[in-house]
Amino acid sequence: MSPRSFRLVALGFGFAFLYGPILWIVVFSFNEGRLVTLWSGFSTRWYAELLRNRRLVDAAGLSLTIAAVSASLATALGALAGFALARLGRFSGRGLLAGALGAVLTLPEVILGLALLLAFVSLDSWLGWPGRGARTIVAAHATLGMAYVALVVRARLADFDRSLEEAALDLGAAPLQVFMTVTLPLILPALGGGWLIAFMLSLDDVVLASFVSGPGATTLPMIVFSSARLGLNPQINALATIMVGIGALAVLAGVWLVHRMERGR
Amino acid sequence: MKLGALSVEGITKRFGTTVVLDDLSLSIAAGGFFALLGASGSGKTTLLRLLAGFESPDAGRMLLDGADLAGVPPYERPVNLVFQSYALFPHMTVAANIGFGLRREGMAGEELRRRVGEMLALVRLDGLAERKPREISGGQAQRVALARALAKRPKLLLLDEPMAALDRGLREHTRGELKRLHRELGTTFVLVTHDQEEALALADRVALLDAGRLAQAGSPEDLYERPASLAVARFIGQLNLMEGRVVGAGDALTIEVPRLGAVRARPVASFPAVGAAVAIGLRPEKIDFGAGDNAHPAMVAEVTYLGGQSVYRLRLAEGVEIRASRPNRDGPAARAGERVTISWPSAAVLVFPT
Amino acid sequence: MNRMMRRLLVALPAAWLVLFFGLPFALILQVSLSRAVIGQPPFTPLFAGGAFQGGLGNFALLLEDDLYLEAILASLGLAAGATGACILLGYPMAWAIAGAPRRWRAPLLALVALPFVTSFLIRVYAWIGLLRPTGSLSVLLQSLGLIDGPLALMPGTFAVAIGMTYTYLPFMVLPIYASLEKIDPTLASAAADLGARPGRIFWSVTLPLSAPGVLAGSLFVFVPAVGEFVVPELLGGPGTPMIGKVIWQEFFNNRDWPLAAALAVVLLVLLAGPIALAQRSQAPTARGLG
Repeated sequence: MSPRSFRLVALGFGFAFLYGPILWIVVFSFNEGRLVTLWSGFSTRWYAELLRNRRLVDAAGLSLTIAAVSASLATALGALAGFALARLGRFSGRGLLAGALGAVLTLPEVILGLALLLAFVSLDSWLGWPGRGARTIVAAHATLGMAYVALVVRARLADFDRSLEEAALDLGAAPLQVFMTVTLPLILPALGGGWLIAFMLSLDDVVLASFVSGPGATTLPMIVFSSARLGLNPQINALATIMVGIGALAVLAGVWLVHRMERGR
Repeated sequence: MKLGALSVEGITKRFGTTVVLDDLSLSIAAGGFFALLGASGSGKTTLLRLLAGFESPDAGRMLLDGADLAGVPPYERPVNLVFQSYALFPHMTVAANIGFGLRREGMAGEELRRRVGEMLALVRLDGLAERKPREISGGQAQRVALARALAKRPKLLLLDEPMAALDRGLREHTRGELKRLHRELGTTFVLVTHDQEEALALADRVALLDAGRLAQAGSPEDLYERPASLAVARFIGQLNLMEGRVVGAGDALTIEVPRLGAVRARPVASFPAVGAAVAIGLRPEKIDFGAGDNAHPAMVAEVTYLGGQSVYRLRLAEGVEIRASRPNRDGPAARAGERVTISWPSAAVLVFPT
Repeated sequence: MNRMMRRLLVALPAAWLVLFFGLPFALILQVSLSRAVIGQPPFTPLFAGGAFQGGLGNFALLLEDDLYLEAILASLGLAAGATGACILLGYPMAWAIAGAPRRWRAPLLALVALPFVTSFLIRVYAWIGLLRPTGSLSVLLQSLGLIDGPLALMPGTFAVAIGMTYTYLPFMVLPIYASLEKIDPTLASAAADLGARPGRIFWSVTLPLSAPGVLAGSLFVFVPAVGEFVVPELLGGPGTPMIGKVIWQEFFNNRDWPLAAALAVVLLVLLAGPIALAQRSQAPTARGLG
């Protein structure tokens, strides 16, 4: 086999593996029958049923709120941490900060979830706060998200020429002005990307949420997970298709925005 | 009175245990074009960063027009820097880059636009105002960096290896531009470079730094013709080196070089005593083909043709070889294998104690 | 930047991590030493009446019951298998992308990373529909006449391995691509000039130089795969007791928080080495993703 055709086979097989299951979900979300695996005709009935499912719609609303709040928190905290690691040189506790962020990134979710729950329970018994529910899910997701944001921001800062900041100082900008006029605009794409990653992580997480949530707060992934445990459900296919569609739109919008920013300025 | 007189007094800078600048003193005249020349690691870039305010000295002080720069942050110094990488802000247009420092001074509106326009005209980049840095060439980027630094009318303009990223043809042109800007603006220029040709061509005074110390400061001609030490002579220009011993002193210095014989040199101020071991240096272009003072028979071992000039490898005696260079006005002066007589004036012999 | 601002910059994220990372792990250690009781919280305090009440009872229990050791071994084995499968599948992909014309590389990389945009949960869910005996894969193969009866891939260990390979594949492709892309193409030309055939060039030049990428990718797949919960829960069924699943069951079904904490401590100790290694290779990958 020539290298060229080997390349094509490797990519073809790999992408078929990556995208086949997603395609399957989309196709069978339009299946008429209740049996998800056997095609019996085109229909959009599962979409209609999905929208009438109050529990799902409520959970989706809660999940989006939690994702937006936790992603914003994660971006603020992660940006500070990433900036500190990339720009402050040596400070006491630097290794600890970097190590903790790295550990959050790599630890199995089950451990992180269990550990966070124990902390929330203890805090609650000492201070009568924070209880268990949406608030604790936000805190858990913000912790996970900040590690990703810090990683992205740190990499971005490490990549760009330090002399840009020195040039701004040299031209009369005080440190805060340097940050606002040079550093911030240059890491803005990283912050946006970091926010998006944190948002997606939150929207997707079932393990942390299951551990730290209380009786009042059920997120969308928790519902999807418990229904998937019971087996296939055409409503889940419809929901998944909508999420795939939103994800694809978000990516397209992002690509278009980046393109436009690069062209326009 | 011109502004921008700089006085560096006893500056020492350490990074950890490494002494990068060691009790360095310099003075730079207002309105001059000054070059800091040195190999990498000589401390020239550190001195530049001290002047810009990015580092602070461990000892000594720097005075600009009599005012101590100690404790003045970079954003309050009347000093601007052209970075080696240019450091143009990639998210701003050329005009916004040039106007950046002016806006920090509170300039805005029509005044800002006019001043940015003037600067663009000064560096001959009219028409590129709305481009982004990645849409212009390297030579243009360099001129934007210059305009950006000059826009604030600094007392002192620092240039960090400004030609390093330019190709050869562009360098010649840029040198001319820098000289023109210096003439037109009268600002004190301080150039940091490792390229001796650049320093000699541009500056009216050159300081050679060696391992954090000042090796010599003076006019380009001083450094080339009257180097203060063997190190300076070796760093700048080509040099034939021989070792010998002083055998006679008086109106002329006579030095006995093993296997070659006596070499006569002009007496020097720090007169080596008879019997002292010395190194003698001879620039290749000072050697004449034909009889004269210090005449020696030689065999032409190799001729390298370089267009405008040729370089000759000459064997004077067993194990004694020197290089001579002559302009090719009427073709090469000798061919390989030819036996010739060469000579050099005693005034051309550089004598250093060893 | 002045001292006050620097302090503040570090203090905020540090305080957050102390509260939501440091404290939780101190507590896991504490709870793993206590005993389960019925109540809220469902474990005994470590100090009562001024005396230390903790003990290693939970860890002794883990050693007594074969279930736990089996779960740990099964997790390590499955994670290693998924890592191997990711290398086999991901290396050729990364190699193909690195060798593609320059303008194709960014879009192809984006296609590798794109599945991350869709929910992880949903992607695992899709495999239920594909792999179970009445699933689409089985139906398809039967209608093509390739197999006679239904294909029973799920639930089971094989399905879990497929699911983990599937979800973690991009983690493997991206770092390998990053290391392949850094290799100076003139090295391959130099090897060819010196008489090496394409196969020899690959073994002697390309593969050794991309080894750091393979190692990084392997760690990014292996570490989370060992503790994976969702994939074995949805695709594995009762026959595959992976450690992540066992922790979950001890916690939610048996309400034995101390035992779950002890298991988590064991898992942490097992993964400490690989996690430390993974941290060192993180920065270049982040750049590859950006």
